[in-house]
Amino acid sequence: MAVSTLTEYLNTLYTTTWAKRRAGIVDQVFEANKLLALLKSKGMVRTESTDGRRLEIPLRVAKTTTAKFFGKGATFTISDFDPLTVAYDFWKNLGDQVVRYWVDDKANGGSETAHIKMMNAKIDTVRDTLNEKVEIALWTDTGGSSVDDYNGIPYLIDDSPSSSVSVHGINQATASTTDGSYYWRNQQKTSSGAFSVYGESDMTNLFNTLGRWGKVDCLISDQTTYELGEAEALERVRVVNKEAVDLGLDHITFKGKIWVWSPRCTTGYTYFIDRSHLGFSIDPAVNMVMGPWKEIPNQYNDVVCQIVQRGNVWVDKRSCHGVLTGQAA
Amino acid sequence: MAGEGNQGAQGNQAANGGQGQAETVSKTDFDAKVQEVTKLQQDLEDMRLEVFSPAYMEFLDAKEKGGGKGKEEESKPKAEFSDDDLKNLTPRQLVEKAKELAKAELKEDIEKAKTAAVDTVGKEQRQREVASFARTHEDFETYRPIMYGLSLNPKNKDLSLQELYDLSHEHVKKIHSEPSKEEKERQARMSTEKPGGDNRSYEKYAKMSPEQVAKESMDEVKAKFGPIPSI
Repeated sequence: MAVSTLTEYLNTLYTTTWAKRRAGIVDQVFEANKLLALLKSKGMVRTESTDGRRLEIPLRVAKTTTAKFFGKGATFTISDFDPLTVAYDFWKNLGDQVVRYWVDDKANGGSETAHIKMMNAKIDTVRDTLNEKVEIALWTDTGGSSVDDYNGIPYLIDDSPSSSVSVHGINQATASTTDGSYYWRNQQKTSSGAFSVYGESDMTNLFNTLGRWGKVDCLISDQTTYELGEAEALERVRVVNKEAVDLGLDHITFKGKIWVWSPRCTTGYTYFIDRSHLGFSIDPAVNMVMGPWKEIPNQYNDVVCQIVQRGNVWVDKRSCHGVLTGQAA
Repeated sequence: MAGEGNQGAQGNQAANGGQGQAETVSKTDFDAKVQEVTKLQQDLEDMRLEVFSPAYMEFLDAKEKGGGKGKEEESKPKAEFSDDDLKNLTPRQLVEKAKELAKAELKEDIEKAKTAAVDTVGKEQRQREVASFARTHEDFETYRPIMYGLSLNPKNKDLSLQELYDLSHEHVKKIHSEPSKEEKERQARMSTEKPGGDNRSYEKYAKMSPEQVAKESMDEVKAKFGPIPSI
């Protein structure tokens, strides 16, 4: 059996090749992004098969009020409580497309090599574009239902945690527990001055503060701040983190924790992240899948297909994350 | 009875008087013969009693019925006889019988001792062999039950410990093997695979360059649809 046209033939070739390379490309997208690579290493890139419109994020913020020390004959107050509060967010769709012009297909004619070269160039370009899009989305200070891209880290770890902003539908300014503490705020500290003088003490202070609520296990800065830290570290002794070495990340350490930089991270900021409470969920049914080829109207045999992914970034505890702002030389 | 016989013989002799001299036996000879016959009859009865003892008769009965008891009886010492049996034996026969029984019992004891000695020596040798093997094979205790199980197979009865050990490893491999790193990763990825997707293909394609993957796809498409169409 033979397909009738060159376009149909190449449609099949592209689809077949994408099916084979898809899993590898997904991995490459995640590995290329330092934050996602670190989340994946911690098991925080999760797949969640759901057909729902919203992403459910279970939180454990409530505490019982019945625990107490007691003496002889004391009584307990019997009351149940719901330990789970479910936060909601929205699935976000990321996609790109591959366009093929009949003129190009025809120009390559019967040359297998030419068609393969063209196809690989297009697929690799899509992969690189998606990498870039993911990086941009992760470091944009937007999120929630008002935008189409993922929740950004600056949105989830706010540099103004007491401002009235809703994250996963919960307003960080007002959400508080029965004892009056604001459970939906991350930590923030403004740098005390020049990094060479205050850098270490500021970082130590924020690190220790965060230790009250969680366990910071990675730090991400912009390039400039990272280099300031690197210069300080090089003057002493450089300690490497085994996990980061295994992941192939160029890094330094702060108190034994991985410290990396990201090109899109806000200048002068260092994010202190507890990876146990920050994750990325993917819908496994829509993870870089290629849709059908469609003819572009009014163009002779020019075709297009989309490659899409569905996912979002979330936090299930905010008090254990922090950001140190205004760092400079 | 002897008197009657003589009288009868004399009467016959009188009746046959005119037909030559009749055969005659002296009374002494006759008595001697009678005594001899009586003794032979007695010996025969002794022999019968000796051979056809109650135990032997029981054995024969069992044998006729096809039971397995006879063998057990045979293996038992031959000392089972009744007091009546002994009463009928002469002193010499008693001595002979006692000697036979003593010999049989002694022989039996010697055989038992020999078997026990061989068993003990063999057991110690085997224990030494197993201990030595366990020292050189760390996972011996893990595979020991499997080796034992395999050794019960008549086909494997002549295999050495090492051969059984190798065989047990092969056996375990057939049933279950520790998942490799690739297998663990593959299983971890299974949740992200689309239904009907071939999860195993990941390892294959991860090791191939994009060009190799594209070439393979091209070959598959070509095999299905033929060469690239011109239009």
